[in-house]
Amino acid sequence: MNQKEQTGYFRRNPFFRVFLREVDRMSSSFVYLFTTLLGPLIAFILLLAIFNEGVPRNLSVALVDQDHSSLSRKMAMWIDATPEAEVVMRLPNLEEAYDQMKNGHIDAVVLIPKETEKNILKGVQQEIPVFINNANILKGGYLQKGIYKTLATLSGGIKVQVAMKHGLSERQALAKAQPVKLHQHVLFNPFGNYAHFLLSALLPLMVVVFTLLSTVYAVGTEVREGTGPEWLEHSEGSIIVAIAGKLTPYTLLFLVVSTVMNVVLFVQMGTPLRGEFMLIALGELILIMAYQMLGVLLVTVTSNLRLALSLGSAYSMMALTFSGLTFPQFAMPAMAKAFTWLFPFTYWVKLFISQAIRGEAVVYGIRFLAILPLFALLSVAILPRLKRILQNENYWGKV
Amino acid sequence: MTGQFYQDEMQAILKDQGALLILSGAIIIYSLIYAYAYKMELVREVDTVVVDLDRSSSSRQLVRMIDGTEEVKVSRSATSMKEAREIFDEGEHVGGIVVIPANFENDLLEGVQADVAVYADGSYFLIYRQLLGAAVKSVGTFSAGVEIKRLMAEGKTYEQAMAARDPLSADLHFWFNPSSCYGSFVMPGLILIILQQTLLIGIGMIGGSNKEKNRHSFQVPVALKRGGIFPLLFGKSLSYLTIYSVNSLFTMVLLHNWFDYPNRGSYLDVMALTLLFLLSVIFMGITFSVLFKKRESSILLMVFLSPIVLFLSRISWPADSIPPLLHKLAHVFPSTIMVPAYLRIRDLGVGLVHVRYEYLLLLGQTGFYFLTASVALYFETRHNRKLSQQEEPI
Repeated sequence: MNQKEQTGYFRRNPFFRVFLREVDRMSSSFVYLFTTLLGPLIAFILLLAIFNEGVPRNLSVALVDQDHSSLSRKMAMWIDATPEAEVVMRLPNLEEAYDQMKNGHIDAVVLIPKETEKNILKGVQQEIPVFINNANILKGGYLQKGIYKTLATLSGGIKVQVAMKHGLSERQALAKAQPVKLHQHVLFNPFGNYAHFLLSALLPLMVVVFTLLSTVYAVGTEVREGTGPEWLEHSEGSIIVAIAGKLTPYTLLFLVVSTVMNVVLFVQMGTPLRGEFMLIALGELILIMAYQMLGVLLVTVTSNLRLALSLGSAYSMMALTFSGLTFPQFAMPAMAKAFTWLFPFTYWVKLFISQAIRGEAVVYGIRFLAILPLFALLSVAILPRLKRILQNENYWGKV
Repeated sequence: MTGQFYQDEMQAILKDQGALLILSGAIIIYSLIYAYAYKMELVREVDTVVVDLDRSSSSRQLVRMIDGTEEVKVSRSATSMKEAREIFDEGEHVGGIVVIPANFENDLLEGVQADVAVYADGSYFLIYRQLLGAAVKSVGTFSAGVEIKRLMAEGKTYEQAMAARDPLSADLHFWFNPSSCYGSFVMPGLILIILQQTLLIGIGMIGGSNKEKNRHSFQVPVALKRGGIFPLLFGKSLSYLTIYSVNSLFTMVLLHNWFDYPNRGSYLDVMALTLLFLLSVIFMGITFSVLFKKRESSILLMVFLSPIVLFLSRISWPADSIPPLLHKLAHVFPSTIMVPAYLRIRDLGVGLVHVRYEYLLLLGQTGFYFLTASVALYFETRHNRKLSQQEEPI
């Protein structure tokens, strides 16, 4: 009982014959190893390294202190202490600061005018001009937030001090300083920072890109090298079995990759997992299969490996912009909104938000899962054409 | 000689559908689609549910102020937090909930601090930011109004009241891109990344296919003479430079005009920098194309790097936050040096003098890749000659 009989079965069964043939092909070239395992892992490592910090910190600020008072020194210290900003240089005037900004050395300038301390003591309002380079709105936004908060806190402190001097209790003084207080709450607080938010989209995008490209390459090479008839011979003439046997090794490898991704997302990054994990895992499997079948579709329609690769890379990359994660779908113009439905990735993002972040009922998640197989069906419908291409010498070796 | 190689390379590109799509079609399609996608800029009028438990004239005024912001639209009101939560869970587009407590007006009159709560949906980052921003702004303005009224009731003049309310006020100025457009922020840099990545992939494809077909029959004898490699390198480079001059013109001039992207610098400076950038990318591409045995390899190895190179070029992620070693390694790509310098010219309107450091660095990089490309081509043609000699035993 034995091995012999078993291998005998595997040798006879058309599905396993194609499967084993593919494993042989894959071990023959570095390209396969790269597109299935090495590439995604390298991408993960690079992305995690880039976004390691979470939020931008210590952006460069210049200080133009014309007051030279104890208050202005305190202000400089406070600004330096905010996580967003760091005072990297002190300059005598605004012109020089402007020049430094043009050279790219600083992102913001805080100007403390003459007599600032005197005015405050006299009870005259003092404006502190702040100049922010907003060409980079991400940096600009962080700096605006950090500097504004620091100055507001300082200002509030002065107010409370003045009120307490007039004999109010601290609580009264606080109420006087800020009549209405806003309490901020975040529903489903998913990420402490923007970086993790981006990563939750970029990591699955990498899985999708490599899935599509590796499939296009695997199927397209058969057309190019004219190995189609031999491939079909292994599957005993069935194109369905041929495709199933050929793609399964890749499906398994990408499941390994997505498992690594899940560990990074949910364990290392601490993304909340409020819903059903099995649904997310199932979603990943179906997403991978949908993109594999789209890869088959691309090769079938173009019958040209390189054209299919070019189209495939554009299609898979663009999925991020149109997934609705970085920019919500309902705010897009009608045409862009319609466009979003053409990417399987969109449905996975929705499933991810529904099941991981919001923890909605399983029914909500299943809706999105149900749409993904439609992409695969589209491809199955034109498999007969692929069979013709594989058998027709006119298509071979062209590109 | 160079002319002959130029023609050869051009023909190779034009005959190759896949490479042609990457080298010319992709730029136009990509840049137009992304420009259109980022034209959406900001999410406005996020649907918000208000729970007004006070139902006073003060609370109604605050609701009107929140509704009046461009970020938020008060679309529904609820009588309890529970009801609001139900509306939120049902509606796909509801961004959050604002709760004004009972006794709100009373507290204000009695000088007790009143609390307003905002619950923002954190699953979509942009919505969360918009709602929170609007709430902070309108509650802040409302609170300031109350304070000023109180101070004036104490007998202060308006100016005195203003000073007492906010002794030290931040006076924010934005020097560049004051409207905070997402498109004008991200697109100019993104265009450079698209130019670079398609150029690298395209050159890799053509290089790989030359190797496959092994059709260097004409090039071999000439190229191996002393100095003969240079006409080959110049011919190749010039053909890509021709195509990419057109591409650059389309993206850096036309697209910039159509979508109103910042354009403060002089075109001469932009051209001086872009020429160097393109040359550096082309020489880099030729160097690496020698490594690709198959024409598909370049696309398989390069595509996934595009978003990574984008982040490494500091467009949307500051360099200080990237691990220093990784940032140094990223200087392999011309975009890492080019993007910050280019953005300063176009966004800030500085002259070449202000980007001299980057310019020199780019010049050095171009020189380096010129050398590596020459060496790579030399070894490739020598290798090909050996092959063709083996094939023709005569």
